[in-house]
Amino acid sequence: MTIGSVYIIVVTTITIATLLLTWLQNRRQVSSLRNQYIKQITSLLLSEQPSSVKILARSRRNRIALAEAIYTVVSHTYGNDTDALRHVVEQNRLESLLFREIHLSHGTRRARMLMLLSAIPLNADKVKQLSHYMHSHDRDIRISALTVALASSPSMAIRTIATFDFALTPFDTARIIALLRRGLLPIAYEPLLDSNNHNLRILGLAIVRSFGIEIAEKHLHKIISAEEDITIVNQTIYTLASLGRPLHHTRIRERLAAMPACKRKELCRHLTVEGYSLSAVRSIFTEQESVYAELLINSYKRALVHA
Amino acid sequence: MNRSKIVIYSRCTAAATLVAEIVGCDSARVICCSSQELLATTCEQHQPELVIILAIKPFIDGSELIKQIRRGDKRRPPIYVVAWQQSEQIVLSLLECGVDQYMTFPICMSRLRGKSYSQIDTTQRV
Repeated sequence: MTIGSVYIIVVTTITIATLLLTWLQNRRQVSSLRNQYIKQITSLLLSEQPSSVKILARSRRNRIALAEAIYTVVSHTYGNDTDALRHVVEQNRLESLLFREIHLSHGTRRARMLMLLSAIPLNADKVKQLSHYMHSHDRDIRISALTVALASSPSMAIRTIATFDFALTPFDTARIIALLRRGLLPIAYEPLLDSNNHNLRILGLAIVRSFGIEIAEKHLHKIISAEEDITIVNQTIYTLASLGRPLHHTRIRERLAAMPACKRKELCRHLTVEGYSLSAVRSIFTEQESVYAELLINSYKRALVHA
Repeated sequence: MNRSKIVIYSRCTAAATLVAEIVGCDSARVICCSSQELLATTCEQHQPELVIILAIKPFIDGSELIKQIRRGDKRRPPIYVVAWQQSEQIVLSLLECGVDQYMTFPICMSRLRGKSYSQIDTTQRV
């Protein structure tokens, strides 16, 4: 190895280390600023006179930290004063900053900026400028763009989800359910379950699961009997299981019999984790498959799955 | 004046800051901890009136966190857990572990503040 190559390696290592340290320092400063803004926003929202609290962020870094703080507060709480938040957003021109960042950035950063935008009160007309991101090839970007659209115009939620080009993944539905839990979207599950749209049905099932709506059981049995889409049928069986309902009906057994072995094992594991008794598992699975459930119940793994 | 103490445990500083701001007031001092060891030591030293834990992991990893928190404090400080999970089994497991109150995110700020104020008030009177 020549002295020249050693010199290049040393310089490159020092440069990378310096860049990494600068990035870490910057992140730490943003994190500290964000925590300060979280305190100010919380005081503002809990204050009896919100107009008396002023929150100002001048530089770009401070405004990003403020947007992160608003996202943290809004995503962890519900029933807040939207007008007070809108005032902070307008005062610090966060909307224009985030729109510019979204247009200029790519990949994960663009998805993150869209996520921050979903937490601030927006004008629905402006959100139309972001609608093309819902067709992005990047999964994170398109679901974040969908979240922005849903949060800005909740009355159009069903139409927006129905026109979404891609099938919702469990991660996507969890993001939408988070909006529901904040009270932004309606929890009317029946029209969703009756719909012919795949995404709406998946969301309807997720609502039933998430909120433990036991009166939906009849609807779920109807879907298991009549539905042709295997994904929907599987999701419906999982939904029934999450409600802790009996699964020994003839139609469910037939559906289970048609399942591939790996999917049956997956469901067997899920039922065990959900707390179904061994006799309940034995009534719908073969003896060989039930042994797996028995092993799982007797092991420490069942408790760990909940983590 | 002897201020009452609230200890908050979370590995996420943002969530801890938020909850600290909600439950904190002039008459209560809030201490945030980012590790279980620190939480146990803080509780032993300060003997808080209320402990708020923003995670469920410490209850299912076999670390016996509740035992550590209440060790050496005969007043048995109330423990609130606030987390995202809402499955019935998790709630039951936490109650079996000795948790007094379980709340799910997203939370209503004024409700959490009201609950913590009344809890501190009750603990102080006892």
